[in-house]
Amino acid sequence: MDDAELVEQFRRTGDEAPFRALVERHRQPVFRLILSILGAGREGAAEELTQDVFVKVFRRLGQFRGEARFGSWLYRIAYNQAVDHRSRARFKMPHYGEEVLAMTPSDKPGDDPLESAARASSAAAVRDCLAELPHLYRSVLHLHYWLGMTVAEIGAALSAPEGTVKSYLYRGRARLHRLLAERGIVDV
Amino acid sequence: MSEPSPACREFEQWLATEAAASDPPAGENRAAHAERCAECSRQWRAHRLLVAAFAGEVVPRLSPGFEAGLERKLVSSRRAARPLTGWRRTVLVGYGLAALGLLGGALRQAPLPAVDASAPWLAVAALAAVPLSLGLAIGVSRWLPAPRAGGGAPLTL
Repeated sequence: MDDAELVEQFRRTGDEAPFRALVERHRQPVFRLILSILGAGREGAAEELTQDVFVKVFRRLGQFRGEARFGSWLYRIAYNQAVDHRSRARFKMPHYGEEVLAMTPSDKPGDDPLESAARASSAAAVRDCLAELPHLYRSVLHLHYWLGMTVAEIGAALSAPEGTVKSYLYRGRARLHRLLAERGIVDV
Repeated sequence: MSEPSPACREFEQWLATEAAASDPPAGENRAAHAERCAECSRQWRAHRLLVAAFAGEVVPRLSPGFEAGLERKLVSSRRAARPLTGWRRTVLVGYGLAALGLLGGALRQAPLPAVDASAPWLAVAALAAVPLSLGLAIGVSRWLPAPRAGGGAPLTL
């Protein structure tokens, strides 16, 4: 049964089973979308927000007229909820000092500790710069590089054509490069 | 802004769909292009740093407590949003009518007392008591059993 049929069944009967099926189908992608906006280390908050999104959907599903696809409607709610949360909450990214980075253990035996520390430092800089990007670019880059979603999957989550997602990725990388260059992590 | 060349487009397409963290870019043409084109070279460096930053990261998943948490929130949401229908509305309307009747009867029996100038807050408290008690009644009515059978049953997810 597709989303539209489940929604229709829920609206007609008020039965919980179709709603349960919708939650089961969409909860992981909704969680990932929210996490892509909040960033790494915010898994707890992302899970809470995912629950809030489904509560909101449960309350409003009776009014959903089906002008848009259910998935687009749901992911729009999730996206807005995450952006609202991020702007409301005092957002403080975890800070790793130089001494902590120097202690980062190497993941491969025989790895040069200095090289390993440099890698960790560069990864931390990338994450810091990602946090400074506009929501949309940060979300797309996180979804692709961290959460391993393909361009088509991101397109479905954001209700955007694949060409648009590729363009977001391109612009996101360009902005990230600029921020990294300002910090001296990469050459201009 | 100038139109990107077909080689830039091909490079961008490759980055978005197939590229791994290999160095240099796979394919002789792409490697040569990344050398020549400043913008694609920047894209390639950003791509590699992103891949490296998240290499080995486990993709987070929802915790096993997700369903129980959602169920709790749904139950309390249902309770708060439950419409005043059926006998719960009848009780509330009855309460309101009885209160109005008592007030009307009391006013007819005795004239309003003069406000005591030494304790004006007493008059304010008396005026505030009416809406407060009505609000309390509405609040309490939310917790009464639902009129429809099964309407208040918790969702099990």
